[in-house]
Amino acid sequence: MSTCMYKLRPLVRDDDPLPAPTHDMYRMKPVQGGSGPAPTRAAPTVRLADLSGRVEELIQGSKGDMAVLEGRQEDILRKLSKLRIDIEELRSILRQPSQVKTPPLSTGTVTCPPCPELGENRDIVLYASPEHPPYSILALARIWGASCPIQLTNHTHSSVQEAPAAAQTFCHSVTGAPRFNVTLVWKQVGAETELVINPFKFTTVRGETNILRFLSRVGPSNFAYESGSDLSRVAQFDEVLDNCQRLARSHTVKEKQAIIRTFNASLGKSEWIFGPQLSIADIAVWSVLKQQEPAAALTQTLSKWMERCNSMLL
Amino acid sequence: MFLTKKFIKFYSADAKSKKALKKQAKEAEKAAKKEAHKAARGGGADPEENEDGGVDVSAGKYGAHGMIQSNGDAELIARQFVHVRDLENDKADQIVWVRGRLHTSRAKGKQCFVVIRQQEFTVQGLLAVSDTISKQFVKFASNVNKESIVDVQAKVSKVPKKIESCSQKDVELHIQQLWVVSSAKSQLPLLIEDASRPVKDDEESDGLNIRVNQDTRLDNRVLDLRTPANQAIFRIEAGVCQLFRDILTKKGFVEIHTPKIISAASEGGANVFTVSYFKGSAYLAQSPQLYKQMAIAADFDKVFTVGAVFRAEDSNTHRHLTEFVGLDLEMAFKYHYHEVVDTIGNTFTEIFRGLRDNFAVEIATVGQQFAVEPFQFLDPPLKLEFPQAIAMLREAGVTVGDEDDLSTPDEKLLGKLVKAKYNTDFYILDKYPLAVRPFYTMPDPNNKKASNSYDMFMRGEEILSGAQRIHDAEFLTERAKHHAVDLEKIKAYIDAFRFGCPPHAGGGIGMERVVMLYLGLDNIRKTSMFPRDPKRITP
Repeated sequence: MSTCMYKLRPLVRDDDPLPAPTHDMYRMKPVQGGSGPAPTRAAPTVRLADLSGRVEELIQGSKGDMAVLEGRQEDILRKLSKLRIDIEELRSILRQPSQVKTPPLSTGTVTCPPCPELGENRDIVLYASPEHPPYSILALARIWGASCPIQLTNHTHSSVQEAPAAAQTFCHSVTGAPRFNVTLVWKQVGAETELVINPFKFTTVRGETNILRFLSRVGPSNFAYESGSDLSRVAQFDEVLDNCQRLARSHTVKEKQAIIRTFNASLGKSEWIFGPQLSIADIAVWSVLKQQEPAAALTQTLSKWMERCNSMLL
Repeated sequence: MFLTKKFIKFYSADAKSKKALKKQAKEAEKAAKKEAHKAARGGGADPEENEDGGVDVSAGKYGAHGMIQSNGDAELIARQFVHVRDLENDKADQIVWVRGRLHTSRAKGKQCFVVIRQQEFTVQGLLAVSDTISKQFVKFASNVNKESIVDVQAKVSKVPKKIESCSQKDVELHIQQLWVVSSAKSQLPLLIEDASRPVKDDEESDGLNIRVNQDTRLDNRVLDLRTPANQAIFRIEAGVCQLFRDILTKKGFVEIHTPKIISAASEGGANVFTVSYFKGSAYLAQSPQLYKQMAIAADFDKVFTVGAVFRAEDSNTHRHLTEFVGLDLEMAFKYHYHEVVDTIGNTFTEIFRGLRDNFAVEIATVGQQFAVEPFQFLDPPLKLEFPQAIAMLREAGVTVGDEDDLSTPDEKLLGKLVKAKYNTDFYILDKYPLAVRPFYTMPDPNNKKASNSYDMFMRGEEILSGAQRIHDAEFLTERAKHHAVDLEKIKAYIDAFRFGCPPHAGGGIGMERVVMLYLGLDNIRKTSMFPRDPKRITP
């Protein structure tokens, strides 16, 4: 009982004789005779006043104990906070080596906007045909780098007889916790590359360029093509992206050549499609042209630009 | 004579009422009449005598063959048979011998259409009265009992219009000879035609919709197994077993055979069958796990076993049997149990791919009767971690605790979610909570609440449950104590690890369950040839 934190005193003392009922209806004669008059006779009434008096006494007395109790509680709280400090220290010691390993986040200002639809795991599934490998996702994984690590794995669906030759390149593993988990599934979906986020709400995005748009909105802010630039520029961006979409679906050589010429025009003499900085547009055009290889005939400027992209993105 | 014999027999019995007597007499009379009728019909043994009195031009071309006792008739031995499966356009105008079952026969005036079935293949045969075919021949053919085995000599001929009701659609047989090799009873407990009718959900489908009850099928399994779907199911099952053996052997596994009579219950003690064993009693093995692990401790490195497993669970569900074929494997690894998980996952993918590529015809045949979606899988298989699965379920609105095991409905739902998101019917769920796994499971070194264990699922139902096993006797004792397992009972198990044992992991699957789920069937009794469950031990 000494270890008990809050001790209670007995309300009724157990060594007191119990008062017996006063009525004689069921009275029994003592079976063992000769023991004299029954002791119950001595306490004919319940001493209620007596009992309440004792309760009062107890309450009075506990006021003195209160201080002792408070002191004990303080003591325990002090011990607990000391324990917490100890644990914090231990934790920081344990964490140190792992912190050394991870590269310091130099692009600390870059943040990804929240996207509740992605769920807590941020698992994304991508369906793509072996004929249309979505190189753009590979490029994103490369250029986002440490600011938004993407874990990329690929699987072949049973409806596809053999994994495409490009499958081996579609692997990107990161150390530590990834920001996005992308599962790429090779499946016959034609040019309609499909992105599934939440099967429960049937959230899907179709078309490679639309997927790029989506990812650039939920990815790091410095690569989001809509932020920071004026609206006419965003419109130009959209046009290039739409052309990529058209190229993936065109069948005749003439049609293809016409679209490729528009790319050539937007590139002009600059290093990248939109000025000195690599942008989402470069990634989209590079991906769709790579899918057309080696059939599509490119101009010299475009070929040089392709090489630049290959060295940057692959 | 027939009558008197009956009556003598009857009077000797002596204790029957007048009514019964009258009935008996009537029956006897009927039988006699039948006999006389049969003789008059002239089929079978004596085709020359017939009611028309005319000469039977087809005599010697039909009848009962009599019991084949291998008497060495050179002419018969030299006879070449063609499988019904091979009756295609290229056999047109040839005269062939075919042995098959009389699937159906339908007489129509002077013609008789029959369907000859060999395994799941069927071909239409035609018999019409002509100068070489007698009326008696046609009549005999139409009276042969269904399911009898017949030898048929016929001319293969092309048909102008495809025969949709048979598997051989381009040709039919013009029958020239028909011999009954083994006759079936005239009354069959079930018709193959009814038993192989496609299962449709809509009630208003026109035409006959006679179905055969599952119990009737199982009571008459010999007949039921003759349906095309069943022929295909058990060939696929053989394929699963063979693929399992071939793939693992190629990966360097050794097949071992473990005892089925054991002295003590291997896991816990519940769910085991007790058998009398001389003066004492023994148990039927409910898992070969201990023996697999002992083989690993004995340096076999990678082992697998195929054999019967017994479970005395009184559960009458669509997926429980009391005896089934277990395909079990166990493998030593170097540093991480994922080496084993990947090996098992890859084995499954290869089995699925083998079935997809080599059993396409059989799968289609099963699909004709039980319309189900084809099985989809990914290569390499999808691997999810338990917390990911919990998060998916929570997103779908299910309340589950972090350390709870998944209930069967939750597993089903998770299967649907995974299917919708990743398009796969097969996936691996890794890192189960330690609290829900048996005592011999190795805990996760990085997370106190997790363990190095995994389940694999097909169409949302668990098919394999495995883990890295504790291979250290001391630690195993500690874990057993923690789980309050009686150390006396598992002494032999713990002692197996006292002489050094490599780290190892493994798992086991039920063959019937894998076939059922691969094909998407609704009951495990459909994929067990002679199923054993709490209510059935025959046939």
